Amino acid sequence: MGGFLLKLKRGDTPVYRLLRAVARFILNNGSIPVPRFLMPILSVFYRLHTGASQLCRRFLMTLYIEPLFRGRCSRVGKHLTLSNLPYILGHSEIEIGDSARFGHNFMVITGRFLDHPRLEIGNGVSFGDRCALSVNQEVVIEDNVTVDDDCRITDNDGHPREADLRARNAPLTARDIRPVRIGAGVRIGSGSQIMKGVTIGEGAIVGPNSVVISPLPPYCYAAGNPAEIRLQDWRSAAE
Amino acid sequence: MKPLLRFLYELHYLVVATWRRLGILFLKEPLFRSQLEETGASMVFYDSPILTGKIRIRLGESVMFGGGRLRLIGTEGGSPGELIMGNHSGIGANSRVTVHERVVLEDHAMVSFGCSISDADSADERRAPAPKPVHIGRYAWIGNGVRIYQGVTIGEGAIIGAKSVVINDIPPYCVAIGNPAEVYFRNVGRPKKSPAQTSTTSGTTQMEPTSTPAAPQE
Repeated sequence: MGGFLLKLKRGDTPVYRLLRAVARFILNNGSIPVPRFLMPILSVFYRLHTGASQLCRRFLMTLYIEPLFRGRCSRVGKHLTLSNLPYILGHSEIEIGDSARFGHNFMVITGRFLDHPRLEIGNGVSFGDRCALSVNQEVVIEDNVTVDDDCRITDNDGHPREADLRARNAPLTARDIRPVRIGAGVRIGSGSQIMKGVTIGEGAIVGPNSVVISPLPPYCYAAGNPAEIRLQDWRSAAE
Repeated sequence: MKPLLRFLYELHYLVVATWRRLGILFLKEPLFRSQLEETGASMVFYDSPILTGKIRIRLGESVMFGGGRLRLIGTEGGSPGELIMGNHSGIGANSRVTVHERVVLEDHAMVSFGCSISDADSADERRAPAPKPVHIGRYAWIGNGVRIYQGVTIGEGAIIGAKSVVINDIPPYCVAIGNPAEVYFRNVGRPKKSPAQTSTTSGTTQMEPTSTPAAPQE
């Protein structure tokens, strides 16, 4: 077998050349040659294919996904953009402003600890893919905030701090839950994490993959794990 | 109209979750159990972990496996890696555990989602230096997105903050955060009695008042 393969690689007769071409076509993902005169017809088929799938998605979105999501939230403004049905676990009250955008697999998770957990999302807020919010008391995201992919915003610790309570799966206490507020126009880089009790001032920028554990002043630039303020005012440093 | 849509929303995910649960109950969990050397009677099982390479898995009672693409990676050649998980320990969704020699999670150790634990320097064992075992003590709590590198020992009840990178040993009952992870608060969450006693004598337990400010962990 090894000898044959070597011959296939080296052979210079027409048979081996043909076999080699076939093997290369199969192994290297060769493409089928298409005559030039077929191109306009294929172009029409391409448009039909993409158009049909877009149409199906649009149909499902307007008739099923968007009404369901609007039914789950207590208030949703005009011009909502969704990618798929957000996963909302628990009893949180969700208020969303106008022209909000949500990426794929948006998630809101709420525990059993408090009676009226509240998530408020302002006008023009945009979320990237795979964002997850953990809301147990209150998370307020003001107008025109941009949250990139893979971000997490949480107003609680998830588990109690004491080892034995954690082992018994005891509920969170008031000390483990503190509300989060993100000011207008804040930009949060991808993969960042906003921890409990954090207030981010208006227009601040959080760098990618940061973990924010302390409040940030307005118009600062913060990055790192744990996040530190790198620029007090990014507007003056931008020039 | 609104209550109906609300009901439909919950119904949608009820149907999805029930369908998924049936698949796990009758297919995925029994198939996964066939790959284990030792396991307790119960298991908290959200989805089947993806097993690659040679790996020997020994589990205690009610071990938790999260869903998503949770991967347990063993050796390609040579002796199989050994993954030992104690009672009530767990690994969250989308995590990755690379076991070339030995990874131990003691009782009640919790690893959150998106973590990466590795006892080898490289995924390719031919090029990596000798693997060094990873040991996670009981009651330890690893936040989401944490990476734990080879040879690390995490003490009993230690808390690792989200997205930390652990390259050094972490002492018991502290909060460690950052890249690389450093101890941020000491003496956090230490029970008055030893946890082994309190778990057997259930009831009210007196907690030692901690003077530290609230810990910023996941």
